[in-house]
Amino acid sequence: MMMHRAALLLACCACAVAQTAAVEGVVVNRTTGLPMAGVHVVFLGSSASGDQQPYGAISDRKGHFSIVSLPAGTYTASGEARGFFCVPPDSKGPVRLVLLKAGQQIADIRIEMVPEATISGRVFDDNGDPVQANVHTDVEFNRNLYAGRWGFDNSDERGEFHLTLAPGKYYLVAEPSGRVMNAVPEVRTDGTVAATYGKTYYPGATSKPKAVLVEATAGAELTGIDIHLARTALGGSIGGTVNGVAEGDGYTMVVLQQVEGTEGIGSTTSTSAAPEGHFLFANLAPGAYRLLALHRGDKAKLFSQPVDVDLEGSDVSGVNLALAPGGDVNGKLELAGGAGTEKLSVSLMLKPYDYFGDAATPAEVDAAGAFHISGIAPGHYRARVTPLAENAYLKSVRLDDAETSEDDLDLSRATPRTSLKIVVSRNGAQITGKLLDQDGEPLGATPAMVVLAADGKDVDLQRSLKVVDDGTYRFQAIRPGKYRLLAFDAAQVGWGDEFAESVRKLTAAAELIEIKEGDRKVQDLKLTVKEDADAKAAQ
Amino acid sequence: MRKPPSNPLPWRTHSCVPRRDRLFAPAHLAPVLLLAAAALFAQTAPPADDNSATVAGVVVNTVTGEPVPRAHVMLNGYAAGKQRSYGAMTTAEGKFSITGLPAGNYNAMAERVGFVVDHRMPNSLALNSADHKDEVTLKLTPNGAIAGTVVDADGEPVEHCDVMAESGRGSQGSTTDAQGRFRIAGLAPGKYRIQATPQEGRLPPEIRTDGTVEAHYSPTYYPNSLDRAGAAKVSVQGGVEAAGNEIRLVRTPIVCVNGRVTGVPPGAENVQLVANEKRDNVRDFGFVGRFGGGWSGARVKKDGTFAIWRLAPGPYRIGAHWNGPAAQMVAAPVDVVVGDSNIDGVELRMVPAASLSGQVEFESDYAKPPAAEGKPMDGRQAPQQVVLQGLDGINGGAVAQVEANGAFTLEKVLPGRYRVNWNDGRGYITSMRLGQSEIAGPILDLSNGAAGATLTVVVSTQYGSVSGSVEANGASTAGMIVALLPADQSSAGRSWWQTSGVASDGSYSINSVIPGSYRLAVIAQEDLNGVMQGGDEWDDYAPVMETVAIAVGDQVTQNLKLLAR
Repeated sequence: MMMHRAALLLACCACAVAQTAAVEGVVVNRTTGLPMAGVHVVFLGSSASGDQQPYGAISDRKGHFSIVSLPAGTYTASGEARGFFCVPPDSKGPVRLVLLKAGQQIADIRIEMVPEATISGRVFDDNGDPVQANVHTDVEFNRNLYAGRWGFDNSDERGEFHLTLAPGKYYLVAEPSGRVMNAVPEVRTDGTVAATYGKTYYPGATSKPKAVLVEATAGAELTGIDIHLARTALGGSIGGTVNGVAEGDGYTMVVLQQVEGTEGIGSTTSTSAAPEGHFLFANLAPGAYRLLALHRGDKAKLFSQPVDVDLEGSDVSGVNLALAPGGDVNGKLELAGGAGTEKLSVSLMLKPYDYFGDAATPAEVDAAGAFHISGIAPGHYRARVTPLAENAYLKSVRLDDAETSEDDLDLSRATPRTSLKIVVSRNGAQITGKLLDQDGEPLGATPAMVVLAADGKDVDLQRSLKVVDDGTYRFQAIRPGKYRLLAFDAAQVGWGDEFAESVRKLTAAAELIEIKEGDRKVQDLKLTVKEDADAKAAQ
Repeated sequence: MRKPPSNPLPWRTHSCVPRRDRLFAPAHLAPVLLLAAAALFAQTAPPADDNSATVAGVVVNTVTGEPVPRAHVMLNGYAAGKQRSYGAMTTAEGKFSITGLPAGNYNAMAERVGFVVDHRMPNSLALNSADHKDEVTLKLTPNGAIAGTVVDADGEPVEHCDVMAESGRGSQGSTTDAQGRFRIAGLAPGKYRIQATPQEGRLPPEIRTDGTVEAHYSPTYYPNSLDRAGAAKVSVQGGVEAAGNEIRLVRTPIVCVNGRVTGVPPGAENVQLVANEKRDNVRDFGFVGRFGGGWSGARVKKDGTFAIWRLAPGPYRIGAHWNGPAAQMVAAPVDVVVGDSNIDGVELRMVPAASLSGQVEFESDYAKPPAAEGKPMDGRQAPQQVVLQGLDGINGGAVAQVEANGAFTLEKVLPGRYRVNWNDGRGYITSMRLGQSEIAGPILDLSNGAAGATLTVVVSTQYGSVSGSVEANGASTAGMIVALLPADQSSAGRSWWQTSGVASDGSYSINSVIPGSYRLAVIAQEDLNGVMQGGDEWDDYAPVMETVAIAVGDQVTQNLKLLAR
């Protein structure tokens, strides 16, 4: 074995082009510990321009593989073989990351594969009839998740499902297709009751604590994992009246949104109100809802305030939605340091969800800096000015003479005399620099994430985070203030909710910098290592 | 504002259950309480009324003739001034009964897992007061399935391969397991093409230094065709699994479409590319999504260049679009045919949106708007509009209101190909001119913009008609439809299709036919969707298809034959 490796390394040295790296290693079956032949090994690299280039090899009879002439950079290494999943070496991340420097030769890469397990069974209702449902594993998306932990199938007309998974312990969930919201309630005269079934954990539990874990060992073929669906409450209804409908042409509609969590808006449905204003939403699942009414006519556009309703089993009636004219905003836009020549427009975007579909109509700013937006539905808005010059930012946003945030304008009770004053500065700051690895060397063409977040505020992942792949970063149009600045390798911090949480923690522990109006800062940034940040946070 | 999360157990929050009981209810009581609560939520039947109607009958399996137990019967309709919905479950003998029905018009349907869901052919029932319809038979057709394996060029099974079965009704899919096996269930009886698509990213070819070579496979139709036309159709019968279908994937070279996007404002980011597969054999009746396997999302590099890897062989239309802060830009699309080698030098030139003004010319005898009794419901004159409908998948459309003098202006028109529609509920477009050039058919090519030219649209209300009878020779024409489609299948000619039912005496009649050459056939109602959406169900009727030429004012008579089954 040693001889073999030495010979290969010699061969590599002889043919390798300067500034490239080489990798070799072995593919093993983690369950048996034996080497695996014929496995397709892929090292996927990313270039400065964002292009991806795969490098491949097939493992030989001794499980050995080798790739030479790899440019320096970060690679994700994985193996592919029919009937197997590739697992990361130490459960540290979804994939194995390999960082290669110019001229580096790594000879001990170990790619581990595990035989797939299959879980199959059927989904039944109360009568023992098969049900077509989405069947999947209940796994949180986190950094320990690797290929094969998430399994999904639609059970067929025999109720059968088959999941192919990496070995492990799993909760299984069956979700019958959703009920139709706002269907007319069905009347039964034959003594039967319309059955509705909800999300059910194996073998028949409504919640995870009552569920049974299924253990699938490597290569196992588990059968007979049958799920008996649990019934849910029948659909409730929400009804009420819209008041203040204008005479004449037009229509009045009521919008119903399912509310999930603090800001999340689920499915939305709507109905038109009867001429006398009555409305009814039927066949609703229990949960939290938000209702709004709008009237659109030739002359007037009217809106109601949103009303929140919790549906918990019994029907809810008598919800009153009072229509009122939409708000008007008389705006004034000032350019700090004198007027510019560009034609600007101001748009207001409803948060968190544009339920009226037309709320983002931009208003043009006239030569005197005035703009006017009318028919504004009650709610919270973001303000945007376009087009903004390279380093321009919204220096001040004042609603009825009170300073507010461009990202949260409360127009819930806007009147025809609501005033909005926006000051745009073209002298925002700018910060640029190189990204450095742990040894202080330039990172080069490696994907990384950079965060510049205002200190003491929640990190807005949409606006504060940048993905860079050429080893440099740049933020511009920065409002003066104190900021946390850091760079990190995205593969370190997991996915989904865990990603957001990790980024917040890393950001809170990052270096504090002060940025002044018009600054042109140059600052190189070393990639933050999560363990260091965790240790710092723990102190 | 937010209340605490709602309780997952409905019986615990229902007001009829005292709080103390809620807290101390023994576990075995819970289901009882649940049922009690459920009964309260259930819609109670209106009080029995001597004048109410009754519907009862049986649900039958069309293949076995056996009754279907535990089928859900639905009776929906409009009666006594409101929308109503009644339901029942069939007994072990397949029987159902619904009482207390107000007089009105209803549709009856049955559904059960494992049977075809078909809402297009409801059984209509007109109920008078005190009617007792006790022998209603509702039919359910069992689903079929397709099963088989996917193998590579060496006959080795392929895992994680997506397999789709498609017909005019739509498509349904599955994924292969470690043995390369797939099973697609829940299929209505009919003919299906099956296509296997290996899962892969749009990456350049792998660089290998160990002497091995990467094998690349393209999406392949059963049994081994890259081309849709070469696909063998698999016939599915109700309640039967068509098994043993082996798809052998076809190996293709890994090729690249290279090019450059020009005309993008400096500094613009996120210019997106679109490569839509062109399917010229698919009829185009104005449905926008007429392209086949489309693909989009490649990033254009900062220097404007792009590389699209691993497109399967075939014709594509390549486009680019960019959504700027103030404006949207679309590139003039470029058609390419992907084969065995790279395609270089594709130039996608961004053209800003521009307005296109025009003039409608009414033929001298253009019909006047209908008189007062034909007034639209809102009391206003139906608007006259010129509508552009984008055909490239990325160029959207535009609508212009026509002024009293016939002038119109289409705003913010992006480059690309459009179908032009005349929308006033009466007339149709006979011809068009862009500047001085005559345009045959309804397709307007603005791939390079209009260069300031004016669009002239000539409209007419002079139609022809076709009628005749269906020679059924004793066979039933129930559920049959006469379909009229343009004979010219090229994109310029495809502008119009029309259908008619067949009367009980076998006669049919289609009025208001735009003059032109057409093909005509009696088709099964279940094939209508597929035919309308450009599926090849239409070609199945070739043996009985008639071709007719209809000129202005013509009243053509054409008798039709039924397709032998």
